[in-house]
Amino acid sequence: MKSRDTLRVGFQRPFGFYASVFYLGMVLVMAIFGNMIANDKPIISTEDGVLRFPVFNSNYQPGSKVVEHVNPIIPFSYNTIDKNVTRSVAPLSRNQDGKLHIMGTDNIGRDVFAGIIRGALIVIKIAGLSVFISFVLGSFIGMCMAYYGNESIKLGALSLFFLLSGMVSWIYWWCNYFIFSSTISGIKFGIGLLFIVFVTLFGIVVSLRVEKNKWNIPLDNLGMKIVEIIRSLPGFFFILFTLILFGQGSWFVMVFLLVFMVSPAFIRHARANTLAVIRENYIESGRAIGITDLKLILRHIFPNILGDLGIIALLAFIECVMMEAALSFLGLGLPVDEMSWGKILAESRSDIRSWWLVIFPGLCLFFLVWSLNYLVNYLRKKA
Amino acid sequence: MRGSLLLSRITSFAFTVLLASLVIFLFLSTTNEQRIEQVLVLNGQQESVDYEKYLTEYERLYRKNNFDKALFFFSILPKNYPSNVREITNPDVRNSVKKLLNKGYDYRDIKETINKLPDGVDLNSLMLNKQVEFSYFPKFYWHGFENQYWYWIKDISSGNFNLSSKDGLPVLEKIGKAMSWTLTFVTLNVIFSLVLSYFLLVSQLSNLNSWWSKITDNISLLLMSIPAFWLATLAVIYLTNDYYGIGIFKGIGIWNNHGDSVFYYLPKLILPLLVVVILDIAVITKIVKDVAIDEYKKPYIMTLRSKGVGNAIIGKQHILKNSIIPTITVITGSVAHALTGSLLIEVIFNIPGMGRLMYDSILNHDFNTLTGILFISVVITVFFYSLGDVLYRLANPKILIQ
Repeated sequence: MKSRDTLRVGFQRPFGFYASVFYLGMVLVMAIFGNMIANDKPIISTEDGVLRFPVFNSNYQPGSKVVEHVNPIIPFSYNTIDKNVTRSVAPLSRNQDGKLHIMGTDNIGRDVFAGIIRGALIVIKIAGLSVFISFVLGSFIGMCMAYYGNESIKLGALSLFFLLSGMVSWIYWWCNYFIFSSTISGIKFGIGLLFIVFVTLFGIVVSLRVEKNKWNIPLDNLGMKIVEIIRSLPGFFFILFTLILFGQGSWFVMVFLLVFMVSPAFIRHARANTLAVIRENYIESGRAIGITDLKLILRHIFPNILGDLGIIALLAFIECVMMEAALSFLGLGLPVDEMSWGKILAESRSDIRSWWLVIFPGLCLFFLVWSLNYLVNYLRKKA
Repeated sequence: MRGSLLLSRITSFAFTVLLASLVIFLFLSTTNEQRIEQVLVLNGQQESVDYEKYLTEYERLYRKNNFDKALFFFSILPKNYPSNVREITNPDVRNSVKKLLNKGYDYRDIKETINKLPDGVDLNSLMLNKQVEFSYFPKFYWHGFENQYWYWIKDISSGNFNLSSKDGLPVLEKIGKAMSWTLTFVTLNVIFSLVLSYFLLVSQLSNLNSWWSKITDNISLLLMSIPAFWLATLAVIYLTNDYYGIGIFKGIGIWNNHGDSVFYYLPKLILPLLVVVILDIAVITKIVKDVAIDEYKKPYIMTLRSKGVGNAIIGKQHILKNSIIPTITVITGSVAHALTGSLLIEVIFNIPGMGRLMYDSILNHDFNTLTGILFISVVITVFFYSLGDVLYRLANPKILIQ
């Protein structure tokens, strides 16, 4: 009996599991190969007998003879504007060239299906990037907080002075480069940054050896205080305010804000799980045989808390996706020429008759969030 | 023990608000010149029509708003930068001086040049080859209490959030009007969703393996995944007009905010409330049930069963009570987030609340109103988080003893 069970274990998961994994895979495929699925340029063509791939590199020589061999399934790219269109066109209607708009067009004649495929890329890019960064940063900080606790790190007056002044001069140097001075070249700036880091580290190391009186640095308490402060702030309003001032249409600011919003969750859960793991005997044995702290954290603690952090990563992904869609819906955040699910949704508000603008991107968003939620639920019940 | 808990909560509340005020002020101060120009436009002053009058008005507003003072208690600036560049009230001169300083020139030379400056001569052409060596080296200045941040804090703590640059009304008045709507909406939202999810939970918790419990579990997982703004847009498109033949809730949106009381418009809140309450119930029941699953595994349930206590009473009196305690912080947090998170709902259903005001002031670049809303919502959300923490500790005395 038991051997049969182990053989069948791969197919014994509920239907929802396969559905959600399939959908997530589809979004990933749409994101990676979207350029080849929906594009107004052919995938393979010959120009004067020479094989070309216009999807990647589109410039033909003027006057050359072009033969198109393989065209994408959807003959529109996300920003192709159909000039014959006066208002949004219903699904399954053809334009004057006889090309089919499977999901219709938006109000200025961009194909909705192509936009949805592009939206998958945006989701993976923004949410994936910010979740990845906050996963790495947040879980490392959280593990360090739990590992060192409130009593392990001791600094004296001199080393504390080096630490603080190093931080201040680091901030000053960035401000100097971006706000005040146009005289500093990039190389000078980089050398300055390295110099500050080197002097700070050197000062701390030397003064740690010299000093006798040292104070406890409550790393854990400080970190938790900061996490609580970030959590209790109205994040959405702060994001809106920052975007309107600094980052309209900037990828960098958007990802930065999402990382800022999401990483406290990673810090909290990494810390809580590490506190549970750290009592185990193998950690103490590792310390006893002299494994360094960094190796202990990365090789022995991190793999043990990875499962729980994975669930948090899925939840953070949901939050990022929702946030990005909401910001695009309000018309903030992404660059103007980009297309995303939230942007298509927002266009439906100007014309109530075009139901396809609200149904299709909304369903895509809903299925994505549902699959992630389902996976979270499934993994939690299994654990 | 309890007194110290309250004290620590109050100090962390004050600290968080202070920190947030610093960030908000830093953001606000980047818009100083833009805000003066907005006020000038609102007063009908145009640069192209009468430059002299425009300039005197600009300089008056500049001094009145304390923009000639230092930004903060102290500043760390590059060596060639004087701490008092802000005291130049003429915007054109100030900007060209800043440009020259950024190129590394000495301020004393610039000042001499300005005094000697005849009309119509470019400042740039007079200032060649006088750069300071190592101009990027930092210098520390102490300004004392004569700074913009201190004046701003004093204004805000006395309730003066300045005037809106869209229509010239006091920001606090606008926020007060919007707040009444948001409070009405959020209160109704919280009451309905808590009461309904209580009854729903009572019906499910007596047996977590019943078909009813499983179905509602799946439905709440589905509902949790629906983005609120998508459901709201769907509701607006299908249910508020006759184009699709199912227009049940006609005349959505609150356009006229004068005269009539909030109660006159209450029927118009039905559809938005429906959307929000459905989604909230899904979230609350899901959270509580996740805790309840663990609660059922505990030995005291076995004791109750062996005493012959029925499923209904176990579910209602023991499981529900013990599962709600860990979710208190979640629920108070969701109240705090409902105040700010109803932005999209308010924009879509056109309710003139805080979120709608925020959205409008974003579109109009109305920074005074934006700052006011941000500051007040920080105070409210931080307050609710602290309240949730205190309630949680009071409801669960185990933590107090530890």
